[in-house]
Amino acid sequence: MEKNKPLLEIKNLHAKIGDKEIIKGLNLTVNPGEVHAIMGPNGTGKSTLANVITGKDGYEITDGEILYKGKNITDLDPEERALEGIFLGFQYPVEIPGVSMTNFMKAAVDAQRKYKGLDPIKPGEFLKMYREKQQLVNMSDKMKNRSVNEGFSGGEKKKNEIFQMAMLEPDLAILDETDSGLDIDALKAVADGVNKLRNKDNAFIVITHYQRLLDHIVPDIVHVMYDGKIVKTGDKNLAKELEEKGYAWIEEEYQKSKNAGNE
Amino acid sequence: MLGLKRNIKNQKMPAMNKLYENIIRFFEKDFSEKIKNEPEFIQKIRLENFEKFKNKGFPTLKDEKWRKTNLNKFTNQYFHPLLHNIVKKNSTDVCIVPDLQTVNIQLINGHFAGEEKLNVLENGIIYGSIQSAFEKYKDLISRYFDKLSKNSTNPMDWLNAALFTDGFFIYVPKNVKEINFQISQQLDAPVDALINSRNLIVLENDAQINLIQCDDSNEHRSHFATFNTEIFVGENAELNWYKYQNINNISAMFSNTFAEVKENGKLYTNFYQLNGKLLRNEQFTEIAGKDVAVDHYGLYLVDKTQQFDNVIFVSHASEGSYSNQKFKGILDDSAKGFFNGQILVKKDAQQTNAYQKNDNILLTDKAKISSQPFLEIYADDVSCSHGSTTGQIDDEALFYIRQRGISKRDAQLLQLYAFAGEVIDAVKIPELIEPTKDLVKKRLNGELDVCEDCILQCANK
Repeated sequence: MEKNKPLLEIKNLHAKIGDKEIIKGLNLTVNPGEVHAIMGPNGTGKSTLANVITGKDGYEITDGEILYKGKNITDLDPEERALEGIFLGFQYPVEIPGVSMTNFMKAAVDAQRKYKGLDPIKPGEFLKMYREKQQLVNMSDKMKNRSVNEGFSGGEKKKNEIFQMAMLEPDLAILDETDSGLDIDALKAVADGVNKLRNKDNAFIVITHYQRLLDHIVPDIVHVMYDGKIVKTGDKNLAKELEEKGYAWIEEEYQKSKNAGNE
Repeated sequence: MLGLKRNIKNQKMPAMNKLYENIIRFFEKDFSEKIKNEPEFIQKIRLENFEKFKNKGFPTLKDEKWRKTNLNKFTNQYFHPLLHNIVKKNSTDVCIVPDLQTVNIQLINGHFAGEEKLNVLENGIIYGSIQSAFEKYKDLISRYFDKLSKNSTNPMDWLNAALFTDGFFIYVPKNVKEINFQISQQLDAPVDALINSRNLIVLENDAQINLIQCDDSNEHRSHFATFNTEIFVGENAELNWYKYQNINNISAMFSNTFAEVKENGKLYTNFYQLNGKLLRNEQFTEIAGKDVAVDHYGLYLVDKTQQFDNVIFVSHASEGSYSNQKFKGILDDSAKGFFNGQILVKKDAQQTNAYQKNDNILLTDKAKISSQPFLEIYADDVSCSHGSTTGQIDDEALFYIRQRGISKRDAQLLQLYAFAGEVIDAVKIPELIEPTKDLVKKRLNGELDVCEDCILQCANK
């Protein structure tokens, strides 16, 4: 990949669920090595954006395109996007009774290896990698024999998302409200994990409602999403401003500019 | 018109069909002659059951437990009643579970296929053909035979009792333990055939055995088979029974089991319905002593236009006992399933713990399951639960798994396999765990062929 080519380029994206338009002309460019934060009040389309980028069923893209590594990915299945290096840390990680964490991760790692033309990972090598990545997020070894997310506490579930990210080493990771419901220790563990995985070739989109996660994962660029669009973009200080002033002023500014546009 | 009406009798007429008419004719003409050398008590049982069957005929959609199970496809067909074992297999054609020492029993078209019709092991175990046992162990057999099934109201049981040709007999003396039996039941008729076999298992006090059974068939003939088994578990005795059913898509098999478990006894079944046009398993378990433990596990994997039924009845007649029914099903295409589970806790059965659960996944809009859990309690100090669920593959979980790079098909298999896990995890014989897992995986993957991949690795296949 060329150095100065964007990793992700979203152009004039419009997407709807059923008849309801949620994303209304969104533009976003993410370059390798960058950490973007997307903030904004509830119900403005942040999670929808994450789902649309990762290819979840039920969303219709009515206009615009999503270029990833220069290719439009809107026709790819979720697993193809994942294999191409896009990872979603879920806001609500799903419980999968009966599927153990190790079996799940082995299947995921092997799917990735197969995609790259490699043989399945050797059990010893897999367990070594598993242990290393567990330590990265300070996750208990006891979790590995349990079913995926089943009976995990809120904090354990979120740590488990970061652990999976560490196992799969994506190029683009989208973390959807990974901070919600976390105590300070879990928050630090999650942030530590992300910081250790940051490098010049990968990129993160951190979707969050609050600024506190951004004290630990320092973003390069902060966006504010409102009414299905990115309405403001700045540096890390924008997050601090939002923390102090709340979202009301963004709303006012947006309505004003909208009215001005209408006049 | 009036004249016609007057001729209609008050009594309900049996449903007329090809198979019924053939059976009646066959019994009255040929079969009654053949059974004349049998002990009198057996002849009596046959005749009584024949009369019942003749009066009622096959179950129809009007019968309570058959409302979802249409037999017309089979009863309008001609099946040749097989009187003798016309397929000879040599004695080397036995089945093995790798690494497991077993006593092997082979039934071909319902006939005991070993060279020695009756065998006595050093430890006193008797096994072999039930027909042969009628003569040699008449007193022993007469103490048990038909004692549990005699009150059945199911026409399939009457048919079986009237027409069975052979079956296996296992007698385990007091204190004999840890014996594994492998039972290979093959439907391998050269013509479309009616097959009825009848089995008897007696465990004296403190005995313990495992049965591992595989039902399979040839690929090209339609079979209509009834396979009835009576089981007597003595005090402190234990029977574990694993069964894998994998017959062709044009055959029907009705496997009805009657069991009685005495004080401190244990009965455990773990059955896999994998393939067949119509598979119906009925289980009647009577808990006849204190501190009994009964487990009935079942997994049914149904697709195409197949139908698999399970009818389970556990009766607690004595106090302090435990029973558990756990049945799980995955239904694809236009497949059908029927589950009818019942727990009866009688007045004196205090301190009973009884559970029943039936869970289903429907993979298409056309697949259907009818699930009927029943609980009937006449004692006041009991702990019972029952329940039934039917759902689809969880879309959220599917997306979650796919987001990790796993294909949709594999994500679905992972979930289905996990769903089946509760039944597979209940397998207690270590050597059986991997073969069971493989078999279920293959079936879920659509890779399981009839007569191939039987869990018992049968020779000459």
